[in-house]
Amino acid sequence: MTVTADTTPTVSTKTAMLSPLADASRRASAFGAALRAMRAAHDDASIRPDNVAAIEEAYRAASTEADRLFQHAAWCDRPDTDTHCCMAHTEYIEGVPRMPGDAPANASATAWANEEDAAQSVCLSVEDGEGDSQDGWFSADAARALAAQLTAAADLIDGGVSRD
Amino acid sequence: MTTSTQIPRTSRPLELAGPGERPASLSTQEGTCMREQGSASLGCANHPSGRVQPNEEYAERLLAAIAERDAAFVHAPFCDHPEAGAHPCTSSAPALPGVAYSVRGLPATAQAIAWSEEDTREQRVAIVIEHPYVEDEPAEDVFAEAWLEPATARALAAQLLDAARQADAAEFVAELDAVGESDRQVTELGALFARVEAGDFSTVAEVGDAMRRIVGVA
Repeated sequence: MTVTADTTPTVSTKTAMLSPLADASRRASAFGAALRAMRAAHDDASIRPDNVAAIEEAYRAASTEADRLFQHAAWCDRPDTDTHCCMAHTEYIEGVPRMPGDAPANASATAWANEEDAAQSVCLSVEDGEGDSQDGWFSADAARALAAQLTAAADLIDGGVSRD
Repeated sequence: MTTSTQIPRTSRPLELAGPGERPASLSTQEGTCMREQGSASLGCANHPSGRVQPNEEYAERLLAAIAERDAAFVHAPFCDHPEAGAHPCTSSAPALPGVAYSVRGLPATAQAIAWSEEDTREQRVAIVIEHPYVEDEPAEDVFAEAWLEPATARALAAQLLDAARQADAAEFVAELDAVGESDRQVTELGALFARVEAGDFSTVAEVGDAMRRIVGVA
């Protein structure tokens, strides 16, 4: 099962359907996982010194390879950095306090590509002013449905609703 | 409401409960005593006097005050429970299911609704994001909500549409399967590392081979 780097899919039927970007990201990510495992082994005090040296050398080579393989999403806001979950640049939307004196909340939505498999989704982040924040990932269609909910709710309020 | 004639109308009927008490509390001490009234002269353990008190009148007045408040409450036109008593009015919208961030993550849900505050009548757009409750995680870590002015809600909607357009290439199922494949390769690699940790120096060369297989350069 010999394959070549970057653009040729692996022979796996599951991975053959991946885009070159996703495939490269997957392989780079797997390499990253291997690096973490190697680092964990290196940090184990019980390992023999000669093995530590060998692992350090392999770690350096693997790091270089992982960074070479990684492809950032086209809209990544930090394409100059190493492997990471890519995000598009976005600003926080400032909310309002629910009650006077409460801390204001905020929210944002950004395109997201997983480091490990390049799967792309929409990341919604909500911080509620109480110090609690949550991130959730949504398909593009679900993100559009949520946008429609926001617009519909804004329309209900803007549509001349009495404040008596 | 016929009960509204039993007490003078006040602007804040729920303050009948008295300072320091929860206004609508009929279920604590007074409720206990009321339930025990049927047993005639038996004392009420929770009442300071130790005797059953004639608080039926108090309960009627409180219930009447609540009924009057509920009857006077004007629900927002978008309220999805206009038949209920006074409450923060909300429109209805389904909770939208998310996707797992990774094979190890659980998907969240999100929802945006119109909101009218019960007391101030301020109207905002509420957005809620919620993760499924997971045992051993604090409950407060699964939920966050924010209130937005309509204009900022529209700005967030625009962000979602932009992000959706950028993320349109997603094919989640196929790619999560692919992670499973690479995870298996990494598991194989982990077994090699275990041998290194056990002092088997020859495994280092095998580690290199396994890593090259993972990245497709073998």
